[in-house]
Amino acid sequence: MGRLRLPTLPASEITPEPCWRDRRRWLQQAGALTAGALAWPAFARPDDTALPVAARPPEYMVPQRLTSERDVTTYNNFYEFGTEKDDPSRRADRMPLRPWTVEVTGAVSRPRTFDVDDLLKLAPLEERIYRLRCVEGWSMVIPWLGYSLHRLLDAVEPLGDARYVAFTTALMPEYMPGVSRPILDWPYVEGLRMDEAMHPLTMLVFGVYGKRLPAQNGAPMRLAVPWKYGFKSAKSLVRIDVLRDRPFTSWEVAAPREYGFYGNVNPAVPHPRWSQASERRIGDHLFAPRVPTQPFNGYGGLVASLYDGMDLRQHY
Amino acid sequence: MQPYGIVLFALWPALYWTGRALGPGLGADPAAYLLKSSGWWSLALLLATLLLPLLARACRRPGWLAGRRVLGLAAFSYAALHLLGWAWWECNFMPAWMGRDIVQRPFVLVGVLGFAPLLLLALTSTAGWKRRLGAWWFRLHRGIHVAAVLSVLHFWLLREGKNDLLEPALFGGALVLLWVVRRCWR
Repeated sequence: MGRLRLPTLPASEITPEPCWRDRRRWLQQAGALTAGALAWPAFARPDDTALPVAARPPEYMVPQRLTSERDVTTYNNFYEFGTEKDDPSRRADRMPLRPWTVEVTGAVSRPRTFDVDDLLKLAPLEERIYRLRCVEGWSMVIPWLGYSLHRLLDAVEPLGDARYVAFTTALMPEYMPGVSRPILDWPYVEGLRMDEAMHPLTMLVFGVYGKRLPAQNGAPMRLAVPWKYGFKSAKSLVRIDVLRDRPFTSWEVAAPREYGFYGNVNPAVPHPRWSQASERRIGDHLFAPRVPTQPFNGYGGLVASLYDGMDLRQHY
Repeated sequence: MQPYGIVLFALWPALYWTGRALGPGLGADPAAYLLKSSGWWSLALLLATLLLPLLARACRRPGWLAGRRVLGLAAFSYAALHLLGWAWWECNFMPAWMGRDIVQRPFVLVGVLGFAPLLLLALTSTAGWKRRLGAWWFRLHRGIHVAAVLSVLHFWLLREGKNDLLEPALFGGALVLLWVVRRCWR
């Protein structure tokens, strides 16, 4: 008896997973929209959480399965609301998100304070699927909504000698129970080198899963720097300073042995309290093995050249 | 006869995990949750083991003393699960990874060292060993204090990097308080 022959399919004809997943999601959304339209008289209010998606650039897709929206929005490190992973999703929704402004200032020709609703219109919103690798050794795959940070920086025209950008998170003690504890020197400050900040991969994020960011994910706007550990992607931004000198970031001040300025994902440089060689993918089943961590979280092809000639073991 | 309340207390974490696993689930990162919870409960049960004689005395219920073995064995069991969880979820059961983890990271080393007395005490917890060792058994079983100190230190070192020392400080404070009460209340 002959062997069962399966028809062979060239790899090029396989629909990439994000594509079909996207189609499924699109179909679900279309279904929901239809249902919504039918129910229109009953709920005559537009969905104020949805954000328009202008594009889904294929160069920002990754082949991994998306982390569920539930996990993305309930498993968060946002210490202003507490150190437990579910503290932010339980406590952050009281934080007032409008009006919200972000001051962009420092070594720029046109310092400006932006209203977040104007920033939403500054450039078309793109959906990009990024891997997120937390310094604690877990990772997610997240469909962010936003645009490259350089769109905002271009608008304020950094001066020629500006070399760094610092990002400051909101500090609202009455809504943030976590800031009463001296875990960090609040407010939270993060920083990037100018070329990192201007890199197209560095994203200013307003939404996730097609909706406005939930407060616990850093609403109304945050960074996503996918080749760096998650702590570099500051949340709920109120201030962006363009600087000539390197800023000190909250984590490198709190624990200089554990966190450097760069925070690039690097399996070869272990964290003092754990290895960085592998990671646990959130959403995998309980007994799934850890997966190897990629240098620059798999974005080395796009960003490794930023660090030519640098010893990344020293500049971690 | 074992005091049933104490047995239930010792089993509570395992029952709670099972209930959560069958119901709402163990959260986005069940591995991290179980690792943390097993370690936390092991330390809590160690302290409960040390607290029980004081409680029994205060309440004049010498029958409760029998519960020390149950509580101690439960502390050992959760520590064993914690260690097993580390070996799998942190090290994929790779001896080389585990070895490297122990050598490179003081808090892992302290945790493993803290498990050694627990293992020894669990193995010698039977009536037979107690009889065979005689007076030595009591000296040996003071090792619970070594395990408690190393466990608190392990927890402290883990949280140190994140400046999040409230919980280890509370456990450490409770341990010191237990010692003081034991000493002053003779």
